[in-house]
Amino acid sequence: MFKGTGAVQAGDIVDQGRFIINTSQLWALLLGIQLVAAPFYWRIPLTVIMTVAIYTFWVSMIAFNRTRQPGKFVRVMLLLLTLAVMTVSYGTLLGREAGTGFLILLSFLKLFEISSKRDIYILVYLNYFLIASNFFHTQSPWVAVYVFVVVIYLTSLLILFSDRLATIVWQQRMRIAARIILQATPLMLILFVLFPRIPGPLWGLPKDATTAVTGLSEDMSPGSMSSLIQSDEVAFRVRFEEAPPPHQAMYWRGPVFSHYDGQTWTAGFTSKRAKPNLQASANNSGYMKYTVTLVPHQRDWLFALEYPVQLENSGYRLTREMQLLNKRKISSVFQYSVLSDSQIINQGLSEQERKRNLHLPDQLNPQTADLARRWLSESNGQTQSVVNKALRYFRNQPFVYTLNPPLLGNDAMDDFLFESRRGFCEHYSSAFVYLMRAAGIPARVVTGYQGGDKNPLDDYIIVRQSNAHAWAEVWMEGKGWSRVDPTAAVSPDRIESGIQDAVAERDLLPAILISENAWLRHARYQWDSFNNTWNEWVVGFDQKRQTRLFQQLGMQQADWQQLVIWMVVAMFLVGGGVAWWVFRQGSGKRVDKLRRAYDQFCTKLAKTGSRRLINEGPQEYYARIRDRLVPACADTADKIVQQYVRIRYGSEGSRQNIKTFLRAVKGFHARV
Amino acid sequence: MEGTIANRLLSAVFYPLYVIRSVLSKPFDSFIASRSGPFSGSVELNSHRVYILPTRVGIIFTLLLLVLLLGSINYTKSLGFMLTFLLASLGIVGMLTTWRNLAGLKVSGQGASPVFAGQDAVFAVQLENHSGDQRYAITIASKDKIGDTIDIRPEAIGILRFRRKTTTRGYLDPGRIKLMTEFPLGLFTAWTWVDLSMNCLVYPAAAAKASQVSSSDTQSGEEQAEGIGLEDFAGLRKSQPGDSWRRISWKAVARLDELYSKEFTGGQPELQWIDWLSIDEPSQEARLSVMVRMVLDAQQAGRHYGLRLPTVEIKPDNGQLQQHQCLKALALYRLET
Repeated sequence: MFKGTGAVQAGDIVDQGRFIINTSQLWALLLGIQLVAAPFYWRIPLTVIMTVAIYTFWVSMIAFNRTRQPGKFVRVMLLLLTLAVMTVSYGTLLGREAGTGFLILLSFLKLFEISSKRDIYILVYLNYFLIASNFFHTQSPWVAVYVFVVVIYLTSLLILFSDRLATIVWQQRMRIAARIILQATPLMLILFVLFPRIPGPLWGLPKDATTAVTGLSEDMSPGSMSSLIQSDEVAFRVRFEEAPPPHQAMYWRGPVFSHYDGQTWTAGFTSKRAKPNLQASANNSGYMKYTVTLVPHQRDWLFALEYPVQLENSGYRLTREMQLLNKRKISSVFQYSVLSDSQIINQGLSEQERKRNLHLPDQLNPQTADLARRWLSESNGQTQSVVNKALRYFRNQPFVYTLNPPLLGNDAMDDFLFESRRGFCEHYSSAFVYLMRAAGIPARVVTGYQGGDKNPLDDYIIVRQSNAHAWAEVWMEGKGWSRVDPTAAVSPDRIESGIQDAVAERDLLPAILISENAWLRHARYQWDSFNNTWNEWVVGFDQKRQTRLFQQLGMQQADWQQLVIWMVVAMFLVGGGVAWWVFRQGSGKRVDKLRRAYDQFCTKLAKTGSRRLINEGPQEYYARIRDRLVPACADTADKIVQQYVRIRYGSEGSRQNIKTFLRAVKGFHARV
Repeated sequence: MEGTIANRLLSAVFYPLYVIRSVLSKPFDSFIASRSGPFSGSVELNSHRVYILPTRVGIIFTLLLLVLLLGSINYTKSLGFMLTFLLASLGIVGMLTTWRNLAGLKVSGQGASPVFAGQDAVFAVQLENHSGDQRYAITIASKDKIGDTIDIRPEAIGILRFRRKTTTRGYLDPGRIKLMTEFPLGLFTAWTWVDLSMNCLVYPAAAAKASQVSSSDTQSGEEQAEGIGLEDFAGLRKSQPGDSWRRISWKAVARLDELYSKEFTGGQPELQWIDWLSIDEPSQEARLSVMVRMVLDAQQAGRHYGLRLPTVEIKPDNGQLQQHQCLKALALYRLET
């Protein structure tokens, strides 16, 4: 089945009904499959990678003519081996991870038993599919570029196998593939913009449809925040309709934790149906309207400035704890618009909630409890006074804001408040809430992000993982749930200007935050700005964007029927342009002045009743028709033909000669 | 084992298409017949003559696109949409490119050299590419038999040949021929049907052995040994096709590196009439076959021979032309209307 290159004659693809693939074609296929598989090597198990390596080695040996195509028995064994590897590595063939792993192995396996041209086409299609599955993990511009290049390569493989005489060298093949892709791009853009987007999912997502990413988690324990701080990954970007609020006012509310077990804070019981109990503020001076482009974090919560009041649509909801939740986990770039009101009063505290927000684990942290009770008695039950005492305590005692806090023991709060006194926002917020609860004041921990980095190039706010923060919320009679940020008492810089000015261990922070090089900062902002545009317009292009785009273009009700009509119209118009482009290929290639003039001359000579045949040289043609010309005319034509031959094939191609020739052709008239 | 299951699945998927095709094929055939000729001279493959349809793998490609689209919707992957649409547009451009690869060519029939019945007739078709771009992988087929595949360079000519089996003498008309291409993506096949009114003259098959030759008589009636009747050596002339190899002057070949034939004057060359009436065979076709054998043998031997058929008589001569005329008369005996 496989033959060396030398043995294959041009056009020898089908040999007595048997399909022959030559070694260079086999190499080309192997390279294509490797290009597709390469991005997966970071994600698939080592066993699968090793199997792929063995198969690659084996196919290379076949391509080098060192070994023969394995027989049927060996191929069945290989299939069994593949299934065994799948069982060991994943335990299943289904699901996203296992599915892609299996398809990768299968496409390598297929190289051992190519028996028809159709096998190859299906193999290439399989690889189109595999390369698309990269988008499950990331839709970054880099991946898009890589996929684009690989698609060109895979397309060149299709050309390789429909070029039956194998006359096209690989550079030309790549050029043709790139040209076809380029011609396809305008049509692709039309479909991308106008194809009606149906909000997914159509069916349930498999369990492993999401991957772990950095970001806030469903619980909080010492250390969970400080690890986030060291990541410069973007959590989300925000575009405000008006001027953004100052750094210290931007509290992006995320998960709210009401339950503490002595080590870890969790949400505890929350009612899905309970609505928040809000009391609107007197004026709307605290209104902020903005659009968030959220990087997928595989959680269902959204972030909004405290406190979100008006939501764009019903796809997400506000919980009793004022947390913004989406219906599903966010696994793709997601955009939403929110109206926040910083002045609104949250009155939501039922008896059960009071109980839950006062609950503490039994018999832990006796010193802390004592301290809280002392404060309570000193302030005659005044909540505000207790809060102030606590904040003053943090400010006046030698507390240190650090990314490297020491480990805490069983009585974590006692250890922190009276011994180590070194901690990060999660330590301060949880200690503060603990103190409040011990003093009989309902309190809870709120996590989210604080602040944000303004991109000076494109006026939006970048919120990174390094902006992760935890603060506290206490219940005050009359004022409802009120935000208290104990970290601000210890390290005001953290809140006012950001983490980079607040901690001692600057070298642990992401480079972008501490870079002093203006040019580098500028480049980074540029890149982030591009990323933001990419996320807003490409990755986040969904039904909402589509509708908004059409509203901007003046179509108020762009329903899907209208989109389809526009799409069909645009496809026909642009398709016509592309067809014109495809059909006029090559016609521009012979625009050589001399040749054009000669063609003109031949057209004139065609009056004799005989055109120049495609295989006739200038002299041959002229000799054939010369006798039909009037003698005087023939004399002129003689000269023109001689001139042309001398210029074209001789050494008389000076500009002057060409000019004379052009003039002679212009003045020539064939008389029969 | 894997292959057969996959094949069965594919067949099941494609079965409805076959049904549709068989239902539609009759009116479609007559529609094509109405515009496929016959043409004499050359015919340009313009937009009315080049048809295009997806290939089998093209349909599989469409299924892939559907899967990708559903996946993109389900997982709301915008770049998934983009790739799906890019591949769909690739299909459209591929279709246009495939069509373009065939359209605009000028086709003309170049006929076929005569063959003996039972041999393959080889027809040649000339394709002229008047455009500035190369055409790739164009295949010719006749009656579902695939012929040559060629590339045609810009402003150049390509010759495509295809073979047809012959069984009976007379003119063989290959009828409609098909030119097709799947280049560049294999997703679509563009094709055209043209009837170029080509013919191939098919001589009757030669009988294995001219056993009856002995009973046929030579006209002169004298007993002559082969070649002796040519008495006086007159000189040498350049050999022409059809000259008997017995007359080649091998000495001259050695000296001059060219073939020279000896010419003789005086005396009579052996003369032979190949006569219908003198052949003792039961059937007409067998008789013709024997006569063909005799013509070939006489030509081979360098004799002058003539042909007598009930309908036609050809004067004795020797040479390629004479042979052709005789064989043609035999081929068309009682066929021409």
